[in-house]
Amino acid sequence: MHAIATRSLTKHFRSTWRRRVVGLDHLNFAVRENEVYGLLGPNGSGKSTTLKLILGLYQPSEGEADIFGMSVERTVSRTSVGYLPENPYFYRYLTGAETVRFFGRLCGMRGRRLEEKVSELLALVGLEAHRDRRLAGYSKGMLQRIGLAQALVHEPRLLLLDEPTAGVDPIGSIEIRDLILKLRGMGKTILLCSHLLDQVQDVCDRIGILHYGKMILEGDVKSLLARKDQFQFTCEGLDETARNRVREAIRAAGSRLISEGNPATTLEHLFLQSVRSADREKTAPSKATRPVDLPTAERL
Amino acid sequence: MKTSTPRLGFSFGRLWTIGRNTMTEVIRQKFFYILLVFGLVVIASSRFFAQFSSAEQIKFIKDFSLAAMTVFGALIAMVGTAELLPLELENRTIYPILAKPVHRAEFLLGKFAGMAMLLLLTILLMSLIFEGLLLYTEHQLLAGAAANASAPGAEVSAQEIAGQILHQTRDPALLKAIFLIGIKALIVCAISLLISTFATSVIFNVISSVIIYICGHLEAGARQASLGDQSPIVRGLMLVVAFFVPDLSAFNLADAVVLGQHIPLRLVANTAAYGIFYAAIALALAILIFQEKEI
Repeated sequence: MHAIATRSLTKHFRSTWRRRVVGLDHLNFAVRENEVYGLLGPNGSGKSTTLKLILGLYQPSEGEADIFGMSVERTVSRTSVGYLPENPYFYRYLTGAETVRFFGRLCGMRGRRLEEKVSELLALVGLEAHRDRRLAGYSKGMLQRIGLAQALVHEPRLLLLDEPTAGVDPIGSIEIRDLILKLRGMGKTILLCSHLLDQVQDVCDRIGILHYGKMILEGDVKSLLARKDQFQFTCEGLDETARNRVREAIRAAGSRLISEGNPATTLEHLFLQSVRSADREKTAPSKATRPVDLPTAERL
Repeated sequence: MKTSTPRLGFSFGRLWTIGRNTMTEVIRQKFFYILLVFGLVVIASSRFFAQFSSAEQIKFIKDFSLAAMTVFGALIAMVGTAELLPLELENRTIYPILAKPVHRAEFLLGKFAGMAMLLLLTILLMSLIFEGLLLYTEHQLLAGAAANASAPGAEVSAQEIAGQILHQTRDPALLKAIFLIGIKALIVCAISLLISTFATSVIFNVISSVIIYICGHLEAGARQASLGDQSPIVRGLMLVVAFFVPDLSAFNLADAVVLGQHIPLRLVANTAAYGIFYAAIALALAILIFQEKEI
């Protein structure tokens, strides 16, 4: 069973003058259990719309979505989901502990079990020392961490993290990344929306790139980034004499040595290429009616 | 493959959690303090305006204080409730809440419950000031009456005057009037919450609530006046207004209390039931609209 599955999920909005704007266009994608899936895309590509549809904050115009096999239209489906919003949308007059307690109570937790959970989560996100401080006095990094704590309070199997490191300084960003990896180690499934592509590359098992509400590229991070027309040996303890023998062997095999370094591309490069390729497809007049081809790693 | 999972029933625990937080939220807003303090000052000041005979003095305090409680109760209900939902949407604090297993009806009713608890506390506080003022005035008047009655040539005995004063200050009808002021504030709160589910701005909500409030007070008089009207349009219009707008003047017992009239408990119970019915209809409509609202 998939943690998330969408089938032809579509969302239309009405703009001024009642013009129809496509927010999400027949999206089909699935997140497997216990994987970290990165949902990428430029601003306005449909990432937040996807999250809101999964959380039941929007009603789909067409199609459907499930969480662990249960329709997202049912409120009970959210017992398995923890959500960290893009910005810290919390009550700033509550303290850190009160915030986690408030969300715990909303999930039906009470008494000693809740208090233990509050302390455990504040320790996990490193905010134990600030538990009685009001959120109004928290830094952006601390707010994101308290956001993670509230998302985890009811022990959800799935976490939806919308820009978890947005506006956070590099150190805070690394801390959050480490937390995500820790959560993956705890068996959580994570859907991560982010613009920080290096971070996505570090933590995600698979990625999907959304553009104009469509999935333009999807796959396993390692295979998407690998250049299949080239081959790379990673060796240890190879001295200069041995290296020369390897170079000679490559020439003898009729091959050409391109580089001796790491030939992998970056996710940032892949992302930009995908978006630009889709832009070209969309703006070229002769191709306007042709469906957009998904770029493959080989083509890139 | 779909899994069979238990349904998530309506939870009063979640409603209470949201309600309690709503109370904290409103208490922290400046308008609340300003209105509350102003209301308390107005009630307390009624003592200084009353420069009449003992009977008139008590009547004035009762009339003035009950009117102040009605107006400030309604104002707090209108302004406080009008901001509840728009603030949640503007600050997006609603996102992480509805991302939890929380029904939208629980969220909306929790907001109403929080505001209702605050309104009842506010009215209770105003009632305590009012009652304190009445007891203080009673004490002063009794002392004055005793001094006057013991003076040579007094026509009325001290006991008689004391009886008249106590009859006015310890009138159980006061509690009935305050109870209905509370119910009226709850109706205003429910109507304002209903408007906030579709209103585009807080100002629009407050203005609409004020218009409904005024219509609700004028409704009974207009209905009476239209009875003699032969025009089916006027009578039809009155019928529509009477259906959609609650008759808020029915909750005003101040005049009867001031005049010392007997107020049957049955009348109070029926009026309260009528008010609760309207509030329930307004909340049900609010839930229906909010269920479909895109956050």
